[in-house]
Amino acid sequence: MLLTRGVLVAVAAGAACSDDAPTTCPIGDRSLAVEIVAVHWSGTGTSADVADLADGGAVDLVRPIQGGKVVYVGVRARNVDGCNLQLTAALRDPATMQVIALEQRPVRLVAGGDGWGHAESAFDHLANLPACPSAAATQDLDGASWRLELRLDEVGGRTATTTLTVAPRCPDSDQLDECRCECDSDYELGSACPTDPIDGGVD
Amino acid sequence: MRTAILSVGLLVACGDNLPGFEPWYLGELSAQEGVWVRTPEFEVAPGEEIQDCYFFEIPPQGVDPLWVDRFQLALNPGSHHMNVFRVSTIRSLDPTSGEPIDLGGVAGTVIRGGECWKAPNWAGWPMVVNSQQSSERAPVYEWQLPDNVATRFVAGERLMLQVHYVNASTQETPFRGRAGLNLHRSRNDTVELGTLFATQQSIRICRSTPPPVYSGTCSMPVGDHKVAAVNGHFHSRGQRFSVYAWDGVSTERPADSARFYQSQAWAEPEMLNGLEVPLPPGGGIWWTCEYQWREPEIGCAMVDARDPMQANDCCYTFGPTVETSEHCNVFLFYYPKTQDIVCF
Repeated sequence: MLLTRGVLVAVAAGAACSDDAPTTCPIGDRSLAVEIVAVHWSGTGTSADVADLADGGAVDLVRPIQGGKVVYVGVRARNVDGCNLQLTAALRDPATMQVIALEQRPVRLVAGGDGWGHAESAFDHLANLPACPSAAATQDLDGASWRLELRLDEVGGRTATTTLTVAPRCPDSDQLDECRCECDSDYELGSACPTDPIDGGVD
Repeated sequence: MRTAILSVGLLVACGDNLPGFEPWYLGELSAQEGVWVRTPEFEVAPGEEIQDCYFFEIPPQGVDPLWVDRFQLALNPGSHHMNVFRVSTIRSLDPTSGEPIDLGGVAGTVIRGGECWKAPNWAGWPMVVNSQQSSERAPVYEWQLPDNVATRFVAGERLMLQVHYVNASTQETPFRGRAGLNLHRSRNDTVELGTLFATQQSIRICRSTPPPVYSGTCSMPVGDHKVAAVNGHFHSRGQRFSVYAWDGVSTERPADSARFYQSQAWAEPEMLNGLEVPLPPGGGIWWTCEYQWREPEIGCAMVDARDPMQANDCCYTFGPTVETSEHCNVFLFYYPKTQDIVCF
């Protein structure tokens, strides 16, 4: 990873030094507009397993450390400072435009050989969007189409956004029944799982 | 005065007869008055963190359901928190595998440590009430719910009282650990209280990175809802905890005018009650945790050992232990209840 201490740049320029100068990690040409591409992770493997996310693509619903089900989504980017970024991810119902999950976090991107900055780790530098259970969802999370909005903000105000349709899915694993239960729009916290709740007719 | 007199009487019976300590006292409740629970006292050795899970059932008391409109939660100094949950799907924290224990007004079981530390075990269990207040000055948190609002229980319903104590560098337990809970029966309330528990699962506060800020939202079900009370929870790297009313549409942090809770006290954050904050229909809450890395008094080795990335940057990550990990949790109480809510 290319790390440039801002303090060294300042010395070279004859400016005043400061031990508090922020670390910067330029990726690409920061005189150009920030470019981003949506990515996702299935919850297994490493950051090398983070993959581009196509419009209409599937994203896995994964049980994280606290419980519930999240989707791991984020961006790869270029023409940015990879060390001073904030990622906002939101899952929105395309019919009502209601956001049913949103998370905002600092992320760190590391320059790859392809000229793009990639999440330093899959777990901490992608959004952990808490999808299930959702008291607000009026359609099942699993199998339905949702609008995913991603925004990358660089300290100082430069920003980029992308929006695409995604299809969260419960992966075929030993958590399949539990996932379908918790991601059903009729699920209420405290109900027994993995029995699939009875649908109320809305999906 | 009653407290003082009874405290003297208790000095011989209980083990808290240590210099300078005046035990808290909660009255025992008759079946007509409600349900009372007392844990035994327990040692919290220097350098130790304890988390125990006590299980008990709402006893049949002639009137079913039991509506409760007043809570009393008591803690000896040094507690990190006490949380009460409704037991639901059992994973690896099985009340029937616990050690039988006398909890004063009820009999129950206790599981000490082990699975009681592992949050996925109770991820599907609705929260009932919580307290983070255990100062010597105010060891009892009393909460009278809003007019006509109450929490509903049914006879035989199983609850978990989880108690966390710390006697280390960030928090100290100067005497012994002990918790108490009184559920006061309501007579004529008809509006049910609902709860919301939200947490940021993947957080990271590192030595070499800028002070991080994490935000999340939690959407309410359809309907009009008012916030009655709220408290935030993080550990000693936490600088500011904020909760806002949120419209359910915007992806920008709400304006300061929408903020109804802010705390900079990590160790004893107050429960803010007496609120009547309407949440926008179709909306919910937005919450934000701001952190500042600080050198761990125990050194970085144990903090680094917990880091899934093994970055060797003294990164505090998500976890229950106060000394080595961090949290970003919202405990919120609203009415009328549509359903209990979690966001994580």
